[in-house]
Amino acid sequence: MSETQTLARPSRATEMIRSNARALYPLLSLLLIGLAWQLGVVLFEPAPYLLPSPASVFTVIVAQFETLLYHTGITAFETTLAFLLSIVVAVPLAFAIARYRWCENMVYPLLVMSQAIPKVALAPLVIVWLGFGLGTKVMIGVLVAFFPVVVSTVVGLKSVPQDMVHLGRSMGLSEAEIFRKIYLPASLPSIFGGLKVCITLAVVGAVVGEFVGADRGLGYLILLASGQLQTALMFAALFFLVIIGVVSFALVQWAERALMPWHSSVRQDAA
Amino acid sequence: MGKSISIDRVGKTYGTLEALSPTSFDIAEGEFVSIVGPSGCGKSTLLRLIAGLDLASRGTVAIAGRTVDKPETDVGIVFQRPVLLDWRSVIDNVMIQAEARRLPREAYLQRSRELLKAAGLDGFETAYPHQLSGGMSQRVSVCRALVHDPSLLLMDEPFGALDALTRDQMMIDLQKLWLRSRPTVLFVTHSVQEAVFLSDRIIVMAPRPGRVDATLTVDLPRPRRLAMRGAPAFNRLVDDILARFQRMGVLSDDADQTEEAERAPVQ
Repeated sequence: MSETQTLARPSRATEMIRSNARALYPLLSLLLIGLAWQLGVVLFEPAPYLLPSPASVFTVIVAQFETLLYHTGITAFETTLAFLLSIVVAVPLAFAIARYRWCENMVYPLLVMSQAIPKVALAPLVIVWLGFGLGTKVMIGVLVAFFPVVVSTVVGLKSVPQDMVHLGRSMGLSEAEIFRKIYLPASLPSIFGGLKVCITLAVVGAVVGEFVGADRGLGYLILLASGQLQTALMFAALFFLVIIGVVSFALVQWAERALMPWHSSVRQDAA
Repeated sequence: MGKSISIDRVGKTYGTLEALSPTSFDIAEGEFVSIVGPSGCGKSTLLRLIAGLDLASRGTVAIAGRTVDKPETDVGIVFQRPVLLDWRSVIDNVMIQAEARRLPREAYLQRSRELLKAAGLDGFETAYPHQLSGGMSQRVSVCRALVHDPSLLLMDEPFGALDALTRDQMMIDLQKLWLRSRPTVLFVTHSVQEAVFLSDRIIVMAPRPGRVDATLTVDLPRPRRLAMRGAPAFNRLVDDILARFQRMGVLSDDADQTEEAERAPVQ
């Protein structure tokens, strides 16, 4: 397999440089927004509980770094579990839906209907069932996040060209082999589309879970800081929440590149 | 060496639509047979029935005397589009045949390389499909259909999506590859030129419902050269088939002129 990689290599180096350059632009706009914010606070002097200055948020981050890190770890852990569990639930379900007509007829409409229920409204019910522990946060995360993975996986599986399946049959591949060698890799691009939505929603789910009942995690910290009008701490917690979102999204994207370097969505030359 | 095919009153209906009305013909071992006809004449349906990828509504298809009731595996198929697996390199796309059939890897790697070289793809073994042109991709798919030395080669408008120049080259190369191992070939096309150039025999089909209109024997020496397309014997066959299309009412004046224009440069 290693010899098959050689042609892709030179483009990967240029890709690194280009993506690094691209990463500078959002950082630059963030810096500008921060400067404008600081300037606004200096000029208009709002009460610190309404709008703290970026500098004071930074001070809080430094002073309470360990606390923030602890709660970030909790929320990140919940997010990860919710994400992984979403995959475990959604992908096999999508395969069943794509493979068996009766499953599609029975399950898919219900699934679509269930999405009309605001998941936040289900949170109190989940607490009644699962209590105030880790399970509740993960469950809410899964409820919020698994649906896009189901939809995108079904779409991916159904758009595998008929000829490709015929090809597999004519080579004498078994159903399991056709699934593994054709359906799965062919639908990976769609699956990853769903996973990218899933990971951001998993963060939302975890925080919702912490809002309705928790004694740790960034959602809990935000509620606590809100109750005590420690607005700077709220901003600090939000900042760490953003980091969780961005880093987890980047990890999914990295996995996408690693698993399917051949696909146009991750290739430089296809842009 | 190829296997014989026997088609006995084979018909196919989809719901109430008759795609193929009962059709019978035989193909000899190692024969190169083309099916030409306008779209909707059931030629692709027929190909799928022979491959066992679809089951006939009535009648029987038999390959080397055995009735086809499940997907045939001693077969190589080339579709209109290359249908390469994007996530596999060129050589791995060819090698999937050997993998699927659990053939010895080393020997078939060697054979895959030889075939790719014969198809003018030397040096592209480790490239990925997205790095290839349409013509190159289709060459890979022809190699994939040939690597396990099948007795039967089924081609469904394989050069239909290619430009005229590439198509000519592909015809020459296909003839060369076919002469090496002589499998039985069933070649579906809508290009009359292609059919006459490549075939021992041509089955002309008519549409709605799909049926055999005529069977013509091509008595030209092999290997055939591109220049042969100017020969009177060649043109007589082409004109005969085009006249049949006109009688079916599937060839309007405009389409007729297109066919003429296609033929003009070689005369």
